[in-house]
Amino acid sequence: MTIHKTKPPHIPCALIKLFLSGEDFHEFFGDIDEIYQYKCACGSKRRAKFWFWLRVLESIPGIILEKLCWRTIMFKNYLKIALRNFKRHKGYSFINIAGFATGMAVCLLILIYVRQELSYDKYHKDVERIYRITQDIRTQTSNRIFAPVSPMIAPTLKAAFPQVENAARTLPTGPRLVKRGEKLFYENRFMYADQDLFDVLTIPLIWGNREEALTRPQTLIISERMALKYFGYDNPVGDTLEINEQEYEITGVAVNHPENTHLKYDLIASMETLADWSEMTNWYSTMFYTYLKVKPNVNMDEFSQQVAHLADKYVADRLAPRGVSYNYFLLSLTGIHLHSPVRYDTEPTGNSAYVYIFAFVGFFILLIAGLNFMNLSTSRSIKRAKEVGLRKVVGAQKWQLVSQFLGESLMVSLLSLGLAMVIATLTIPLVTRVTGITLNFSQLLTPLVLIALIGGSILVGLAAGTYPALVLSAFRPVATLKGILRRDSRGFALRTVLVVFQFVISVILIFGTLVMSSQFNFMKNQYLGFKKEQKLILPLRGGISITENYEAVKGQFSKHASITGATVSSSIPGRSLSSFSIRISGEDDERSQDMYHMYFDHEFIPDYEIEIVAGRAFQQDMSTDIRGAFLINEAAVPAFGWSSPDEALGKRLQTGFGGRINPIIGVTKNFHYRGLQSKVEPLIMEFQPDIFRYISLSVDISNLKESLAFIESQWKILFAGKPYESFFLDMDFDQQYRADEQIGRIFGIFTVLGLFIACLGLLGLASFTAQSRTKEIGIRRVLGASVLGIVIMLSKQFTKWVVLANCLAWPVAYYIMSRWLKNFAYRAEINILIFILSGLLVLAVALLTVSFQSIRAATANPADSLRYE
Amino acid sequence: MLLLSRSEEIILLAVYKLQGNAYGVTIREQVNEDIGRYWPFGAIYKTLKKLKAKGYVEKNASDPVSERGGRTRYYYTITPEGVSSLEKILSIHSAIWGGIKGISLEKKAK
Repeated sequence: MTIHKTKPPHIPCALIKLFLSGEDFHEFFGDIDEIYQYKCACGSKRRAKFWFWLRVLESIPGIILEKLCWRTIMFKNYLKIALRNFKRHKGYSFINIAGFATGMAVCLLILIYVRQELSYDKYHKDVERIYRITQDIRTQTSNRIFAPVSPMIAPTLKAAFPQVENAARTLPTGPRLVKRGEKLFYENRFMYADQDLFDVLTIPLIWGNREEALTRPQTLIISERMALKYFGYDNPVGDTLEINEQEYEITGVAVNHPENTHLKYDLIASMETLADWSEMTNWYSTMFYTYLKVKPNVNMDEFSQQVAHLADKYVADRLAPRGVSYNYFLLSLTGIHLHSPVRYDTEPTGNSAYVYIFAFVGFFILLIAGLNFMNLSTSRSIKRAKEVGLRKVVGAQKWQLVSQFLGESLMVSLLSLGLAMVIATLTIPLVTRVTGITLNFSQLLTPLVLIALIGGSILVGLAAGTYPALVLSAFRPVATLKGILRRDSRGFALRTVLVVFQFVISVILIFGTLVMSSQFNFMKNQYLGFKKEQKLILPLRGGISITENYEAVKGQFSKHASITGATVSSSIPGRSLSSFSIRISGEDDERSQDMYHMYFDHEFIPDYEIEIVAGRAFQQDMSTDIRGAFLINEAAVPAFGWSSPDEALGKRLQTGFGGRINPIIGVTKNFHYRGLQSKVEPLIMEFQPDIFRYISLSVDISNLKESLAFIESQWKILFAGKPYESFFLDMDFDQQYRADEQIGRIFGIFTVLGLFIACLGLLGLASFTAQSRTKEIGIRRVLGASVLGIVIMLSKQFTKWVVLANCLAWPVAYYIMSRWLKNFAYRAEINILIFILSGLLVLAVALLTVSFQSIRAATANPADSLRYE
Repeated sequence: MLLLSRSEEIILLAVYKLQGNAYGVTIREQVNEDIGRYWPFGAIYKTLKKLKAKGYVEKNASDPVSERGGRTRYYYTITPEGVSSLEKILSIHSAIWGGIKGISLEKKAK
């Protein structure tokens, strides 16, 4: 044995050691060392070293490739085994993948929804510098926040605050009758706006000059959609449209507004059109939504403080004596959709609470699905103990087994992700139809989201696969091959906890759904204080006025026998009302009260069957009733400090500042002129023919078709050239609950899915228990136990769990749902029935799931089961 | 019979030629002699492994060798299957190259 004269260089040695082991290493190292020693002996050492380095480096790529090649061979084997397992246990694989995919699909849908809700108005350029100014009108007794403000605010902001880059007003109005040639439609999204709007918000024009689109009166920008509708594919710039019988020149075509904006537009007319309107200089009006863009790097705290009292200079001397003050604050544009605290917003706003709730629900459903997956894989692992044992005997390392099972679970999770994408895509139209919420799948197709999804599902796959992988790889090979399986009681306890947890979540979801539906039922069936059924409403739009001839119009409709009543009003229950301040006339007390107001004729109260608690309703033969008397509702009585409705009679009220002064002639019982979410607030009613906008017809529905035809024919005679439109009051009124009901429906869907997934988990666990007790069941059967007895025995345990889950879930669910109910001024009680029902429902579903397995176990031939294992 | 790749053919021939003295270093020398280029060791072992898997060569560890600092050499010997495979290759080669004296760009004169 000769001692080495020269040690080979270190790093390449370490490198080979890294890639080769055992015989391969010795062979390779021995061979190159042999030559190296020889080279060292008869040449320069450095050269030899260099040579050594080269030999190692040139070999490494080949070695790595070869390793990979062997890996893929093992991988192929793993894949084959995994696929065989899928095929052999079709039911189990289906449960596993379907459950996981469903969970992920739900998560995806929720992700889309949440992203959509959070993305509102983010597309505007410099959005972080854009704000909407809102107004807080405070009196001693009330505090009302308005989104729209006075038209004077925008010019004042621009003139008085150097921080403001620009500010613009918009004035959305009701529907407009748009006419071009033969085409005649009502369009809902009409508004007036300043030219400056284009500098504040991002509204790109396709045609027309952005710089002077809205600088002249009677100019109009229309959306692409409108351009297509009225002009086809031609460029309409320079053409005209007739809106409420006024000619507007089209100066631009804007791209359609995206779905995720609070300011939706179709027709934008120039604010200049209204230049002569007296309201335009009124500091006290609240009609104009005002947006402003501040300059970069403005100290917003300071600016907000300055803005808060910007109107004091102009209004304080009139408001202060009355105890009223105007405060202004800025609401960031992106916050409007979810966080707007104001009345009269342009679009129904979202609810940030719902977004959070859904995010949580989505997370929990994913959690349930992941837990399930983990649970099922672990319980099925027993089945594969033999495979694991054999692999170990043949020489599989622990890490190889771990990576095999992790790999399998990764495969399943990625497969589920694919399936989830498909499910989500396919169900989006369904979700849209059921809930009315438009979801946009393309939201998910950004690279970032895709990476996050794939990363997420890999993470879930790893998390779900870790436990089974560790359990499986820890099996002792001899024991498993002999067929003795260690029943890991700890593992079982964990699985139990997981299943109980799943059912806790299911119970909470069911409880929530039940409370929601009972609330919606309550709102729909509650008597509102007036008769909402069998009322056909004809809105008067597009500049129709019946101030002079309302009696004649009503007469025309009443001609038909099935129309038992006709009345006209400024608004109807469920539609928006405006409000103004009212004060008691003649008293020193200058306090005023904000009240909603409604104008109608003498037939409204009897037709709507509204009760009068004191005084009288308007009468036709009393000419002083017209424009000369007030009715108030009961809620207004204490607001003015009167102790009873009778005390209010004869008191004189004054509208606005220096408005009409009239006596109160009657007090109505409170009726719900707005949805049951809101309390009945003080309301003042007047016989005022100037602003009649709705005709309400009481229609006998026994001969509906003919009556409707008659009404339409009368309309054509009375209002030739105006499109006929009608709807039933009850349906229209219930529209107010639509947003909440949508949420309720989505919640219902999630509940069903959550329960489905939880049941899958239970099914897996039940089959596991049934299997591990096969022999016991066989013996019991031989000794004379009945099938029913065994089913009961097997189900008892699960019943306990579900009952436990109920006990845990009820308090949590009760707390959450009572919080939710606080959104409604009038609410259904959380009935004891809901507790019982949610518990029973979950129990029933759970037992049904379990019984499927236990009946199979119980009816199996005992001879077979005794031979088992 | 399993067909051989060109590299397997070269290595198998080298082992055959070395007549029992075939191990990493000598095989590498032999390959260099045959085709005028030193192959990376990694490539040689990889090919040897494949040949071993096909049953054409056998691998045996020697007793510790002093030139290797007391390490063993791993010798390769050709098996009867290997020999018959070489015979087959030879016959195929002579069949497909038969009658060709030299290769040039011009077409064979008639």
